[in-house]
Amino acid sequence: MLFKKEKKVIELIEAHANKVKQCLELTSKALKAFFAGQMHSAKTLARKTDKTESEADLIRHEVRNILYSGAYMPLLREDIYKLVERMDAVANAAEKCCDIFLNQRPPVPASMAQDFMQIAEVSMSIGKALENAMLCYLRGVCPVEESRRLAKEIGMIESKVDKLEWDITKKIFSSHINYSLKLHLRYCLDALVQVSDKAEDAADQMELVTFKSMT
Amino acid sequence: MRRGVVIELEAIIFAMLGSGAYVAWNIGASDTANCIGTTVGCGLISYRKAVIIVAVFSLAGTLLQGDQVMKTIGKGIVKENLEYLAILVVLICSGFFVTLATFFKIPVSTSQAIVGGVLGIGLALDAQIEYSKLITIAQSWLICPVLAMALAYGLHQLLILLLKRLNINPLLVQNTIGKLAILSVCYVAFAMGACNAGNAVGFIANLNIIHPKLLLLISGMFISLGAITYGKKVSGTVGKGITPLDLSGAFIAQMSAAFGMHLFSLLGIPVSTTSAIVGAVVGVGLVKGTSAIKKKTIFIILVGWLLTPACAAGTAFFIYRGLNYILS
Repeated sequence: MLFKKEKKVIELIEAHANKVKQCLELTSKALKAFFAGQMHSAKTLARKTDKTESEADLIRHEVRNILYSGAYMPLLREDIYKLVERMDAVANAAEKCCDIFLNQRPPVPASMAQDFMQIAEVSMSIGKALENAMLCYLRGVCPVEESRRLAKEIGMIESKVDKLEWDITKKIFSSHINYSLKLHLRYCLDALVQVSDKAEDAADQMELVTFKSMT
Repeated sequence: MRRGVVIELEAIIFAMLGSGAYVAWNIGASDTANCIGTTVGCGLISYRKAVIIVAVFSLAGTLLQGDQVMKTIGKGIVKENLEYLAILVVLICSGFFVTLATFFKIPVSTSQAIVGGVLGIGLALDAQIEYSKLITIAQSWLICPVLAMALAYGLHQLLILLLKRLNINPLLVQNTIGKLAILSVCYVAFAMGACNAGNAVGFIANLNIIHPKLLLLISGMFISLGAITYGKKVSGTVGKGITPLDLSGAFIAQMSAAFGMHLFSLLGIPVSTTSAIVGAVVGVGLVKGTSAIKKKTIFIILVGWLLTPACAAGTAFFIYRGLNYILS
C-alpha cells in the first residue's frame, strides 16, 4: 500500500487528539466532583485521567517510532512530532490539575468555588475545539481558512480563560483569607490555566504547520 | 613526424582539454547551484546529497544528450573552424568571467559567456558570423526565462487550486511534493548536463582530435567536480536570495525550469540554467505578489546577464588581436 507508514501516523495523531480530549473531559468531571465534595468519584475520575494520559503517551511514542523509522520527509517530520508533543503537553497539564486538586485538596472558600468551577469548565472545554481543529487539518476535509479559523477559536477560549483568571486572582488577593491560602489558591488556579495555555501552544504549532503545508 | 611537432601538438591538446575542463568546472560551480538551490534552500535535502544527485544525473545528461548543443557551439555561430589559439582565448575568457561572478555569488550563465566569447573571436578574425543564429540564441535567452516564469506561475496557481479543491491530507500532499521535488532535481541536473556540457568541449570536438564522447565524459566529470568543490556559493542566492520558497514552490520552480531548458536543448539552442531557474523562481514568487520578489537581487542578476557575454566578447576580441600582433 502506498504511504502506509504516513497514513498510520495520521491515524495515530487522530487517536492521540482523541485521547487528549478524553483527558480534559475526565479532568473536568473530576474537578466538578471535587467541588461538589464527592471525593470518591473525583478520585476514580482522576485515576481514569492518569490512565488516559498514559495511553496518549504510548501513542505519542508510537508516532515517534514510525516517524523516525522513515515516515515522511525529514523536513516535515520535525514539525509533525512537535505538534504531537504540544498536544501531549495539554494532556499532561490536565493530569497535573487532577493531581494538585486531589492530592493537596485546597480549601476553596465557598465564595470562590463557583468561579473555580467555571474556569475549570472553560479551560477543559478547549479539548473538543483542539480535536476539531486537528481533525479538520489532518483529514484535509476543510479548506485552509477553516483550519486556521478553528485554531484561532482555541485562542479565543484561551483569552476567555485569561480574563477569568484575572478576575479570580483579584478576588483571591482582595479577600480576607490568610496569605498562605491565597498563594495556594493562586497555584491551583495557575494549574487550571496551564491547560488552555498549552492548548493554545498546540494550536499555534498547528497553524504554523498549515502555513507550511497548505499553500 | 618530428619529435618537436609531436610535443607541440600534445601541448596544444593538453591546453585545449585544460581550458575545456576549466569551463566545465565553471558550469558545475555556477549552474549546479541553480539545479539544487531551491530544494536545498527550502531545507528539503542536504547540500551534500544534492550534489551527489547532480554529479550523477548531469553526467548522464552530458553523455546521452549533450551532443546536440555541442554541434551548435562548434559550428553554428562562426562560419569557419576556429584555430587553437582562438579556442583557447574563447574558453579562458568565458571561464574567467563566470569564475569572477561565482566568487561574488552572482548566478551568471556559462552559455552566454561562451556565445559572447565566440562572437568576440569571430569579430577579431573578421570571420563570417551567423547573425541569424546569434539572434535566435539571444531570443532564447529572453524567451526561456519568460517561458519558465509563466509556466511556474501557472503551475503554482493550478497546484494551489487543486489543493483547495481536493480533500487530501495536506501532510501527505507535502510529502509527495517533497519526493517529486527531489526527482525534479535529477531531471534538472540531467537537462543541465545535456544543455551545458557542449559549451565546454564543442570547439575541441570540432578539431576532430579527440572522440566527442570522450570529450563529453571529461566535460561531465568536471561539471561534477565544479559542483562539489565550488557549487555552494551561488546556491544561497538562487534558493533564498530571490524569494523565500516553500516545498511546493521549490518543486514547481524546478520543473518549470527543467521543462524550458530541455525544450531548448532538444532544439539545439544553448540556453542558460540560470535564466531558466531564475525565471521560474520569479514566477513562483509572483504568485504571492511582486513584494515577495527581492528586486535588488533580480537587478544584480540581470546586470550579470548583460555584462557576462559583453565582457567575454570584448575581452576575447582584444586578447586575440593582441596575441596575434605579438606572435606575428
